[in-house]
Order: sequence, then structure tokens, then C-alpha cells
Amino acid sequence: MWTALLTFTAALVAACGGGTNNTATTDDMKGTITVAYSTTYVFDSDDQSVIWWDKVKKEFEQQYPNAKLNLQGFNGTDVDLVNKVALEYKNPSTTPDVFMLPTGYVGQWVGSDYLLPLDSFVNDSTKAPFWASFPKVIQDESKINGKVYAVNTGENNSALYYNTSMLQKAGVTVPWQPKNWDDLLAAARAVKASGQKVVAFWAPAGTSAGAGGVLQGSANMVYASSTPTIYDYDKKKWVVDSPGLREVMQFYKTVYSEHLGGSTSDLFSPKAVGRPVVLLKDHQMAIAIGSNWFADAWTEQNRHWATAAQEASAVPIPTSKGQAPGTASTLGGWAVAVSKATKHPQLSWGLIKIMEADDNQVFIANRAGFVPPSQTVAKSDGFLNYAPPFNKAFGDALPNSKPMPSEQEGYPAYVQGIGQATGQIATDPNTSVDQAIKILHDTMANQVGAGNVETLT
Amino acid sequence: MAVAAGLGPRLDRERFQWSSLAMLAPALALLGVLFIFPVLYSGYLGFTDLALVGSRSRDYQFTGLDNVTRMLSDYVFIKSSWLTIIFVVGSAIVGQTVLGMALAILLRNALVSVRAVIGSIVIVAWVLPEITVALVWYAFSQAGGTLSILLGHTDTNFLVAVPMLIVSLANLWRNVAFSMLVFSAGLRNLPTEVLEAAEVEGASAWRRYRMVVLPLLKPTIVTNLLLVTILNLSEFTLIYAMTQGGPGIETMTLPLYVYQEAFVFHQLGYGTAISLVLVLIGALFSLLFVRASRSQV
Repeated sequence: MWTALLTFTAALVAACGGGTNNTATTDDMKGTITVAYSTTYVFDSDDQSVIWWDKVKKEFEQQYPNAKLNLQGFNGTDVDLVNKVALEYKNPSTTPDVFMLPTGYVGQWVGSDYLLPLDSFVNDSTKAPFWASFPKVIQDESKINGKVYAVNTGENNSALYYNTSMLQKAGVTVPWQPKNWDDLLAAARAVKASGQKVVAFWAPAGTSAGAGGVLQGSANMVYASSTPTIYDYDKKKWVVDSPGLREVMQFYKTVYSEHLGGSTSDLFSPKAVGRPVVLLKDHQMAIAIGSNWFADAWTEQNRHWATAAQEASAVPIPTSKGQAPGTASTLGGWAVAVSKATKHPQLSWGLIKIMEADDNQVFIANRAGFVPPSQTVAKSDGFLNYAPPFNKAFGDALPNSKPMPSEQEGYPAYVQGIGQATGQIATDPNTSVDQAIKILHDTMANQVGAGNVETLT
Repeated sequence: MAVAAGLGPRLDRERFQWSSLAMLAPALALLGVLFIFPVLYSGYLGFTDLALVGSRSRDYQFTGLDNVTRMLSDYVFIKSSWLTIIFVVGSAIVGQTVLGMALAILLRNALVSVRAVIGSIVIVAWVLPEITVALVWYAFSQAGGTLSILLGHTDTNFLVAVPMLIVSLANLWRNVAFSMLVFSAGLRNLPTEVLEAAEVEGASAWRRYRMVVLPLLKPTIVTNLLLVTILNLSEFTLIYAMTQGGPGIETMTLPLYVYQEAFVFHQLGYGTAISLVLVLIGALFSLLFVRASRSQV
């Protein structure tokens, strides 16, 4: 009964927390602060994580000689990190001063009243020299009820990767630039018809890759559809049926009924997020919806693809019918926040400032596979030359990229619902669009309540 | 009466010494703090809307029977309960018990060398870490995996086509050694004279098994059923590693649903409520078996 026991324990720890808020305002830049972060889920390899954090610690302790930085790394996935750190936050005495978390969870932390608004820091250019170089979409990503609660440290966005020679063999002109989803399907069909024994088009489906799989997969198509809304902020309802969602489901149906997509063994693998990286490298895949970090993964020794830049290319994902703005992508990454319970807000900000320094940003962007939030860093040679030509392509795609709804509790259920719907189509392409929509609707209505979902027409 | 009074309290009566309370107090306190209080408290939390993060992580409330009514209309919970029962009855109660018994009986009559080899193979499956078993069966059931080659359908991913059957088989494959060992021990302890008498009377092997062995083994069978039910009811690692409850919710047994609600959807209150149901189901099965064991001669 260990799951039951685990839940008991977690619920118990959760309930026993509480306590008073620390409202200390004085901060003499002395003492120890703790930063909580993921050791295994941010960087392409764990040793790079150690190098980066050790560098940050050293610089921090040099700059603030009376202060110490306590590194509190967590193993596991993003979900593991969030669950473990959530329990720490239940009591001010165990709460870390600074927390590096996935952007999608900032809203829930704010909902718990755990985070310190950072407006006074970011609006002061001496304290936040980097802030002005962030595009507005990233500045606003962790702005909730008008206040900034976290500072981005790196973004992931998506595009289409393709193998140039496979498309050429299929008679598709390169450089390829699909204008709409029909162009995309036409190229995939051509690859299939050319008899090359490869996966024509990787369209992520299913639930095994969790939130990351949806962020880097089907949610891109929702944002590229004619109704690019996941959460209706005006009515505070989840969109579970819309012309755009139906376009997405029809698109998946076409891909899987014409056998253009990947196998369920790959799609539903616990390592599904990484499968296209390997399949593209091994010349077993022609086109893939993929994330910017693929290019950096190919520079790593374990997934090395030395000729990636010559053999593959990346283009933005076109909107369904080519409607404005023409391309779309999701946006999601990692951000740093300061806890309300901290006794050292100034010192905590001092840490963020070091993490956001240009050289540290170039390192983390390259070794973790991020598009840097700072446009200065994104345009620097250190970033552009690390994984050419891909880093530039994804940096350019940033303005049309859109974050996922973060302040809403129902997001994990949306991930589950759309994963199940697309997974069902991939398993059985005879699934109708209505049935797929119903899976999303039922999952959401069951989890967040029928009153919190809506149909857009 | 006067005589009795003169003899003092009866010496054969169980006596309670109040001073023993002092000796028991530390153990009682530990049990109370670490076991009884958490269990009762989690019973309470199962009737709240506590969340892991978000506003309800701080301002959670007692919500009465809301979680129960929600369960009754929660199609995932209902399906999940059925899947749990199918899994426990199919894989554990029927599969594991029947196969374990068959193995135990066959091995009893087998050559020593055969017994050693087969017994070792079965036990190795049990000794393997659960996560290894999950990976072995995952690879075995994929398209192009050994199973698909054996069955001549190399394009079929059996973990997607018949997910519940595959995870049940994997679980059976892993756990059958446990039942086999329990039954082997039981069989070894059967009185040989009864069996020999039956044989002299000319009873067939099947008849001897049905009329003599089975009734004598009844306490062993009940113990085995009780243990495998409790062990399998909470099975999480194997299923989670193989399918994470998918595809869709096709293998979402209650322990996986508890995990999803509590740690993916962050609904600790509702997750706790579901885990209470799991405890109730376990208690129900246990009661049934204990009653069954009492009815024996």
C-alpha cells in the first residue's frame, strides 16, 4: 500500500505546514541562502549542471563575501522537483530562499502566496540590467495579477526539423517552407510515397511524455490552429472544443490514418520526448515537430550528430490555413523566483542577478538547450555559433511563441486530456474527431468541473 | 466466601498491573504519534479539498461528502476500480494461485534436477527488481518484440493492443514464485499416511488431489490468497513503469489514479479519499478470506 501511504504522508506534511510569514525587510547581505533546483531535468547532461551551479556559487560568494549559497539540487523530472519542493514550502523553516522552477508552475506558487513580487527589482535598471533586453512576451510570462513573480532563465520553443536529402528525394523543393498544414501534410505524403523507409512526420501524441510532451508537441498545433486558445482568461474557462481543436484532431487523424506518423512504441515510450532526437540523427525520420534543445543535444557526445547542420534544417510551424501571424509555437521554460518567507530578499536577488549575467546565460542556453530570454544573449556569437543554424532559427521564432496558461490549476488535466485524445487517434485512426474532442472534454469536465470548461464556436 | 477471600485473588485469572502502563507508555506514544494519529488524520484529510500547491494548499476546508459524491460520478475512478478488481482477481487471485499451485504439484513429482532448474527459473523472476521486470516485459510486448514475433504479428504493439492483459501477465510472471513457494511448503507438510491410504483405496490422482490434498491445504490457500491480494492491490511500480496507466486510462488501476490525482493534478484531498477506498477494498478482501479460513474444520 505504499502509494496510499505516500499520499497520506504527503497530505500530512502538507497539512501540518503553515506558520507565519516572515516580513523581515532588513537585509545586511550576510548569512546563508538556499536555492532549490533540478539537477537532472534542466541540462543536457548532469555534469554540466554541476559545472554551472558551482560557477554561480563561486561568483555569488565572491561578490557577497559575508554570504554563503547553499545548493539544494533535486533529482528526477520536473514533476518530481515540483512535488518535493512544494512540501518544503509548507513550512517557512524549510522553504528555500530562491527556487528555479518550470514557468508553468509559477502561477500555482503565487496561488499559494509563496512568492515575493519582484517588480521593485526588475523595474530598477541598476538591479536588473538584463530586464530591458527581455522581449515583452517573456517579461509578461510570470506576471500574475499585474505583478512579476519570477525571472526567466531560458525558454524552449518549437519548430519543424527536417532532413534535407529525404525531402529532396521525395521531390520537395528545399529549403522547405510550408505555408499551412496542407503543405506540411503534402511533404509528409511525398516522403511516404517515395518509398523511403523512414517515419515521414513525427506528431507527438499520448500521455507518456507528460507536460513536456504536450508543450513540445500537440499544444503547438493548438496555437497554430484557427482558434489558438487553451484557456479563456476573460471567462476563466478551459477551451475543450473549438474549430481550432477540431482542426488539430483532424490533422492528427490524417497523419495517423495515412500512416505518416511514428509507431506507438516510439510515441508512447516513456522516452518519447527524446525519440525524434535519436530518429533524426539515425536517418530514420524525415520531418518532426521538435523543440529547440534537439540541436544542442546533437552537439553532446552521447547523441552526437556532427553533420546535423548540413543534413537537417528547421522552419517555423505554419498556422493551419496560413492565417496571420503565419507561424506559431508554444513557449515554456524555467524561471527563478524569490520566496516570500526569505529573510534575505536582497541577497536572493543578488543570486538571480548572477544567474542572469550574460556569460552564465550563454552557458546555460547552450548546455541546457534554451533560447535565452535576453535578446543580447540570443544575438551573441557565443550562443549563435554553438549549434548553428538551429539556435538562430529558434531565436527568430520567439516573437510568435506563446506561453501555456500557467496560473491555472487545471493545466495538468489539460495535458492529460489532449494527450489521451491524440494518443487515441494514434492508436486507432478510425477514432472520429467527435470522439477525440469528447475525450478532452470529459477529462477536463471530470477534473475541473463542467462549469469550468467551454466550447468556442 | 471467607475462605476465598482469605486466599486472595485467583492466581489463574489474567491480572492487569497498572504499573505496566508506565512501561508501555513509550511504545504507545510512538505508535500513537507515528501510526494511529497519521492514519486518523489522513482519514480526515480525505474529506477535505487540500491541494499540494495553489490557494487550497493553505486554505483547505472540510468538505463533508464532496469527495465521495465526486467519486461516484468520476468515470475514471469507476473504471479504475474495475481495473483494480480485474487485476487483483485475474492476475493475483486466479492466475497466481492456480499457476502457483500447478507448479508446486508438478514440481513435487518431478525429478530432482528438473525441480531445481524450473524452480530456480521461476524464483529468479521473483527476485528480479520490479523495474527490471517492467523493462523486460515492456520490450517483450512492443512491435517487433519477442511476443509479436512469436505470434506472427510483428507490427502489433501488444502493450497498446491489449494493455491490461500484458501488465497482468507480467505481474503473474513475476509473482507466481511466491505462491509456488507457499504451496510447496504446504504440500511438504501434508501427512503422507492420508495420501497413501487414499492411494491404496484406489483413488485416482485427480480424486486424491480434490478430496484429500485440497481440503488439507485450505489454510495455506487462504493465507496465500490474503497475502497476494494485499500485495497486488497496491501494485504500482510495475504498471507505472510499463504504461503509466495508459494508453488513455486503460491500465489506470487505483494506486496509479491516486498518484495521478495527488502528485500530477495536485489534489491531495481527493487522492487521499481514493486511497481510503483502496484500503477499504483491501480490508473487505481480507475479511472475506479470514471468514473463509474460519469455516474450515
